[in-house]
Amino acid sequence: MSTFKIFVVEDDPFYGEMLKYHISLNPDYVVEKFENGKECLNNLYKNPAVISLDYSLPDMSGMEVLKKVKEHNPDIPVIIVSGQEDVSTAVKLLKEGAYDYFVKDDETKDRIWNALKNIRERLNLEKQIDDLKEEIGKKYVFNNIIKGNSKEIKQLFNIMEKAVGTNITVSISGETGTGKDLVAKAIHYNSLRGKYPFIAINISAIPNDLMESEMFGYEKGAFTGANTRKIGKFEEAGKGTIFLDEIGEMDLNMQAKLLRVLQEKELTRIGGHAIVKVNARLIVATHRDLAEEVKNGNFRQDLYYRLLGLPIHLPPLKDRGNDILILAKYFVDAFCEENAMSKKNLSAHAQDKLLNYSYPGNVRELKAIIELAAVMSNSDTIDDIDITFTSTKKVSDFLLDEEDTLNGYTRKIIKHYMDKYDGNIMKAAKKLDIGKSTIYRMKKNNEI
Amino acid sequence: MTNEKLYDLSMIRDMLGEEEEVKNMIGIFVESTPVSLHDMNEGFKEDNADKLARNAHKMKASLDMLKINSLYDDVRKIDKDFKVEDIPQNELEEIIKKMNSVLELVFKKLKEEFKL
Repeated sequence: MSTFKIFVVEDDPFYGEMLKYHISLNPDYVVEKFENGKECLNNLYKNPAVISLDYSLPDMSGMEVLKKVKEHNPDIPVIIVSGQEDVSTAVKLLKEGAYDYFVKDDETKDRIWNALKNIRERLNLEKQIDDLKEEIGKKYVFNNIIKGNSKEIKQLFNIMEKAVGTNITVSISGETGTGKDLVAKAIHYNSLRGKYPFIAINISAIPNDLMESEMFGYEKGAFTGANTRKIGKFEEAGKGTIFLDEIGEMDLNMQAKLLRVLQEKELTRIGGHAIVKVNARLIVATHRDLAEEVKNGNFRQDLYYRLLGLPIHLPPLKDRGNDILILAKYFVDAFCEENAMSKKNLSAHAQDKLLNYSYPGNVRELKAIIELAAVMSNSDTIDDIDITFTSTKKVSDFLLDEEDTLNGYTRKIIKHYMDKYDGNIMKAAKKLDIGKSTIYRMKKNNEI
Repeated sequence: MTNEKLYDLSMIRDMLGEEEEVKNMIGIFVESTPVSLHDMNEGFKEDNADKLARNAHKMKASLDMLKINSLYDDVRKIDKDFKVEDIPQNELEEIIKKMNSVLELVFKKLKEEFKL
């Protein structure tokens, strides 16, 4: 532990020396003693961690010194040590921000000792929290969480910068596994709200009956089993960010309640009357096409427009070209480091194989594929035979993903079988009962 | 007063442990407290209630620490929490006189005990 500077301000030289001696018994404490308020104030530039202040000083009152210390730095804890047993004085000093008030008696030394111990523990915890927040902030620097240098990713960073600089609601769309939650966290931790909580709710994981109490909280006795008051996620987020993942799964009844809260910027806990102000920034995400859901009557149009804010679309991995290799290398390195393995490279064949797969599970699937390949590889190089595609998607799934032309469907089917047979054209052509020259031609024309 | 112990250093010995430290600290007491006593006396002579009370208050915690119990009530009577103007002049004079005689004796005995 580092040294802990303590100022003792006491006009009685004997009492001050006794306090100094007692406090200095802890070798981590460095004590400086002053006999008047002015001397103490003139030395505030030395940044004391704590000040033990006698209330009655020859040049100014303890109250005056306390106010000036708080003006200089409101975070310095000031312990008032006084010969006065006047409760009203103590209350006034505590209201002005004194950490504690001790009357000089037999117990004073022990009280100061305990107060210093508690202050030190609290300051250490606060420092740890600040360090952790800084660590989290670093972790969510854009290019630390989203790897790649494709045009799509550069555009994404530009839009994220705009989201960071304002309080606008952000709506993130993209296929499963594209990293919507990471983008939400990156926006939060890089914004001014980063020091406040980031509260994520996965709408699809909460039963409809519990959604309202989960989001807005409830009062004691609001319903059977509500034995204590519980604050909701919106309140928990405070001045931070609330992230509603899979917003497209929210039922219409709850959508109406959410809309009201967003319009009024306030909520009432279930069973309560008190109005709670909502200050949190909202980020929503969905893998669905919300405009389409509005058309189909599954999503309220008014809520849709309120949530739209700044739309961010995360491109599917298959459209990010060489980002696949950048990500693959990142995942290999991270996996090898986590598992104390020597570094592994990707052979040219392995890279080719990775670039020719469609990744229906996106980045999440690539990560799983790479980690398995790193395990399967017996050398410092991951080869194509180490790579196994494990997608559970059937042909019918991706065919129904979106409407397409006949040529489009043909390309998708051939791509699927090429993936399935590890890029073996002979096998794919045989399975589809087409000439292998058809596949060669499509590959040459970059159609698959 | 005569039946009472003049002072008791148990609390100081308990806090400091080492006898050498106790001696150092008592040295500071016999050096600094007479100054406050002198200032208190001046306040009395000058009819300066604030000066009188402030210096009594300044000595209060130290006298408690040395457990000079014979002055426990007296020093509190003229502490700044109380209005010295409200104490009858003859009573105030008695208190000042008592404080001086007790403390002079304390200083003398402490100097003898610690060979200061």
